Amino acid sequence: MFSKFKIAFVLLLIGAFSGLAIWGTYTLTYDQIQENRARARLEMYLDMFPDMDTTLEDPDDISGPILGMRLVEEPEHSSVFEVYEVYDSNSNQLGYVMRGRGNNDFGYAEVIVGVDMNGVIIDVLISDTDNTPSYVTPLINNYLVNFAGQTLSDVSFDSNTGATATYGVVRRVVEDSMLLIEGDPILSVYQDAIAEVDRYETSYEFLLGVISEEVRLIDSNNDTVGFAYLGRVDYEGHEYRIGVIVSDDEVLKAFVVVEETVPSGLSEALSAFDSYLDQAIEDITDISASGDLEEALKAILEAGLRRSTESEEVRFARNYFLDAETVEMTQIDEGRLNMMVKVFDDQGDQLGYLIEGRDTNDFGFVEVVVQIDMDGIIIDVVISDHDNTEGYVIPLINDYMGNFSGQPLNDVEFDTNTGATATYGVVQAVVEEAYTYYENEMGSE
Amino acid sequence: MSWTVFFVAIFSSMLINNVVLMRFLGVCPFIGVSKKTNSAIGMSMAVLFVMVVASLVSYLLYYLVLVPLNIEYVQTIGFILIIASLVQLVEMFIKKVSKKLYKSLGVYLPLITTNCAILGVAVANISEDFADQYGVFPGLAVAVTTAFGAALGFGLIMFAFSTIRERLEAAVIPEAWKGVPISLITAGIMALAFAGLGGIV
Amino acid sequence: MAQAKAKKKDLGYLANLTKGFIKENPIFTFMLGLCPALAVTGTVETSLGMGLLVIFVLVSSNVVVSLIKDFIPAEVKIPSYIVIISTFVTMVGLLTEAYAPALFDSLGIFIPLIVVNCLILGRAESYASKNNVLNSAIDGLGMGLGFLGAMVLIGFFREFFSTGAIAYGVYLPLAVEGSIVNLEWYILNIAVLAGPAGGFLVIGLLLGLFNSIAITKRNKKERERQKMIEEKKRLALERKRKKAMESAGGKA
Repeated sequence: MFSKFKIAFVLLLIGAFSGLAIWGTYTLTYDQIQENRARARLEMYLDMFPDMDTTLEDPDDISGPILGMRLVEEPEHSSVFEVYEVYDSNSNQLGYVMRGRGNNDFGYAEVIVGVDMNGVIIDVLISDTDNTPSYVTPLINNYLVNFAGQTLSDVSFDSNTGATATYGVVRRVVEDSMLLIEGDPILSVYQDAIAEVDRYETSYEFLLGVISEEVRLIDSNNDTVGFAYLGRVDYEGHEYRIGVIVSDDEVLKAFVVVEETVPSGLSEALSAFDSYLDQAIEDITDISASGDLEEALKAILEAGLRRSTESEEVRFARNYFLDAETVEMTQIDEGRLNMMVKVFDDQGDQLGYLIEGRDTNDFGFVEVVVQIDMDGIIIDVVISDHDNTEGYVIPLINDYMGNFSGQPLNDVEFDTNTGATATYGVVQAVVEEAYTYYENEMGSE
Repeated sequence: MSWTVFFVAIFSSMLINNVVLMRFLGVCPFIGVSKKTNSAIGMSMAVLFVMVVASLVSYLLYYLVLVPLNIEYVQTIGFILIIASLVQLVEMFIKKVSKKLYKSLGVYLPLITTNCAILGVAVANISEDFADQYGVFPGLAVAVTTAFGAALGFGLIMFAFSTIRERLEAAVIPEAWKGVPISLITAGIMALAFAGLGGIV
Repeated sequence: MAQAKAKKKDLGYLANLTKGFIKENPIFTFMLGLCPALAVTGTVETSLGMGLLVIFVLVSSNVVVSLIKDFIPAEVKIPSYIVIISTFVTMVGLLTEAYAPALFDSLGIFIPLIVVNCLILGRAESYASKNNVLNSAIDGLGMGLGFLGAMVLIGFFREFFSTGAIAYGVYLPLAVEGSIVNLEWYILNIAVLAGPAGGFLVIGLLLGLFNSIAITKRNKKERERQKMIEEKKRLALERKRKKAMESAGGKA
C-alpha cells in the first residue's frame, strides 16, 4: 500500500516539476515568440523596408493589421489586388507595396512589388505560386533580381524570359503597379478628351490596316463612353502612336498622340485637324491634308472614323476583308455552322464569303472563321475564339492554319499530322461543313 | 466537405507522403523489424491500431482540452503520455482478450512507444490545421483518415521492404555492405521510386 | 555485455567523453536516432541545429535522471523518463522558436520528435539510471557530440554533392585554369541527395564505407595476432627444444 502511494507521489512530483519548468519557459519566451511570428508574417516587407513601423493596431491580435502598412487601394480591373502605403514609426511614408496575382497555364503566382518614394523598385518577389518549382527558382535567382534599382516608370523587362509563363505574370503585375503608382499617362490623354473615362481596355487588335488597336473607354459605372482608334506614324525615325477618340454619341473628341513627348513638327501637323473636333462623325466628310505627315494622319483619322460608325457585322467582315463596306448576313442553323456573311466593297462588288462555325471538343469550344474568295479559294482559316489550352492552339496557328490559304475549298488537303489533335479536329470539321454549305447554297449561283 | 477529401487524405498519406520514405518517421522499426515478413506484418498491424487510436485521442485532447485551456504548448508531453498509456492499455486488453493475438502482436507493442511515426502523425495532424479547414469534428474525421492512410503506407513499405530483405539474405553481398548499409541503400532506391508518385494529388 | 559494463566503470572522464565519438557512435554504430539523421540532414545548417538541440536535451535529461534515479520506483521508470525528456524537449522547442526562429522553421515537426529519439531514452535507461551525475552529464555530452558529428558529416555530404556548397550556402572556390569558379556548375549537382532518397543513400554509403574500413582494420589486427601467436609458438617450441637438449646434455 505504501509503495503505491510512493509511486503516485513521485509521479505527481515529477509532473508538477515538469509543468513548472514548461510553464516557466513558456512565460519566458512568450513575448519573443509572438514577436517572431509577427515578424515572419512581415518578413518580406521588412526586407524591403527595414525601418517600417511594425506596431500592431490591436496588440492582442497578432495576425491583425499593423500601423506601418496602410491598405490604400484594392484595384478591381488590374492584376494588382492590394496597394499599401508603407510608413515608419514617425509616420513618414517610405514607399508602396503592391500585391498582385495572375494565372498562367501552370496555375497561379502571387507577386509582391516594393517601390520607394522615388518610384524606384526595391524588390520584386514571388510570394506564393503553385508553378513547378524548377521553373520558378531559376527565374527568381536570375531574373527577378534585375528589377531591383530600376525606376518603375522606365522598367526594362527581360526579353529572354519574356515568353515564360511565370515571368509573364510577374511582368503584368509590375506593369500594373507602374500604372497605379505613376498614374497612367495614356489614361490622362483619354480623360482630357472625355472627362468621365475611368479606365480603358483594348477591345480589338487589328493585324492589318492603318489602325492597329481599338480601345474601349469605360467610365466608373462600367459604361462605355467612347472609343479610341490607334495607329502608328513614323516621324523622324521614331514611331508614334496616334489616336482618334470618338465619343459614344459619335462625335470626334480628339486627335492626339499617345506618347509623353511630342516633337513640335508632329503636334503642328496634328493641329491641322483641330477644326474637325466636336463635330458629329457623319458631318466630317472632306478631310483635307497637305504633306506626307498629314496624309498619314489623315489615313488614321479616316480609318478610325469609318471604323467607329460600322455595324457589328461590317466590323466583323473588315477583320478579314479590309475593303469591306457592306455585308449580307445569313444565319445558319445546321451542323456546326453559325452564319455566312457575303462581303461587298464600296462599289457594291462582292469580295467573298465568311463562314463562321463553332464546335466543342474535350477542352472546351473553338470558333473558326473560313474566309473564301469569289472563286471558292480559301483565303484564310482563322480561330477567332476558343477556350482550349493556349499551349496547344498556338503551335497550331503558327504551323498549320497557314497551310489552308490558297487551297480550293472543294479540294482541301488537311494536315494528317495534326489531324488527331482535338483543336485541329474542330477546324477540319468546320472547313468540311463550310464546303458542303458552300456547294449547296452558292455553288449553283 | 466532400468524400474526395477522405480519398485524397488516404491516398496522399499512404503513397505520396509516405511516413517512412518521404517523412522519415518510424525508420527505426523499419530497419529493425523488417528482417522477416511475418514480424513486419505483425508490427504494421500494431502500428495501424495504435496510430489510428492515438491520432483520435490526441486530436480530441488538443481541441477539447488544450485549446480551451490555452496551453497548446504542452502538446508534446500530452501526446507522448497518451501514446504511452494507450500502448499499455492495448497491451493489457489484448492479453485479456486473445492470448494468440497477444503472442503475435505483444512483443511489438512496447517498441511502439518510441516509434516516432505515431507521435509524428499525431503532431502533423494538428499542424495541418484540419480543424481550421473543416471544423473541429469533420477535421477529426480527416485526421483519423490521414492516420489510417499513414499506417497503411507504413505497412505497405514494411511488407515490401521485408520481402526485399529476405531476398537480400540469400544474395551475395560484400561483407562491409551486409545488413544495414545495403538495406538503407535499398530504402533509398525505394524512396526514389516513391518520389515519382508526387504530383499525382 | 556485462564485461563491457564492468570495463566502463574504470574509464576516465576523457574516455567516457570520447567513447561516443567513434566507437559507440549513436548513429553509425547503434543506429539510434535514425529518423532525424535522415530527415533534417539536407544541409549542414539544419544538421548542426538538430545536433545542438539533441545535446541540450540529452545532457539535461541525463543529469536529471541520474539525480532522481534513487527516488523513482522501478514500475514507473520509463513513463517518468518520458515525462522528463518531453519536458526538456518542450522547453528546447519554445526556446528555439523564441531565439532561433529560422532553425525552428527548418526543423519543424522534428523538434517534438526528439522525445522519441531512441538515443535519449536509451542513454537515460542504460547509463544515467546507473551512474552518478557527473558521469551522466559527460556521457550525455559525449554521446550528443557523437550524434552531432555524425549529423554534420551526413549533412555535409548531402549539401556538398547536391549543391556544391560546403555549408551555409558557402561555395568552395576552385582554381581551374587560373580562374576561380564555383563547383556548383560542375558535377556537384546531384539534386537527388538533397531529397528524401538522399538521406537513405548517403547514410547507407557512409555506413558501408565505415564498415569496410573497420573490416580492413580488423583483418589487419587478426593477421597481426596470428603472426604473434605463431611467433610465440615458435619461441616456445625453441625453448622446449633447448630445454630438452639441455636436459639431454646434462644427462650426458
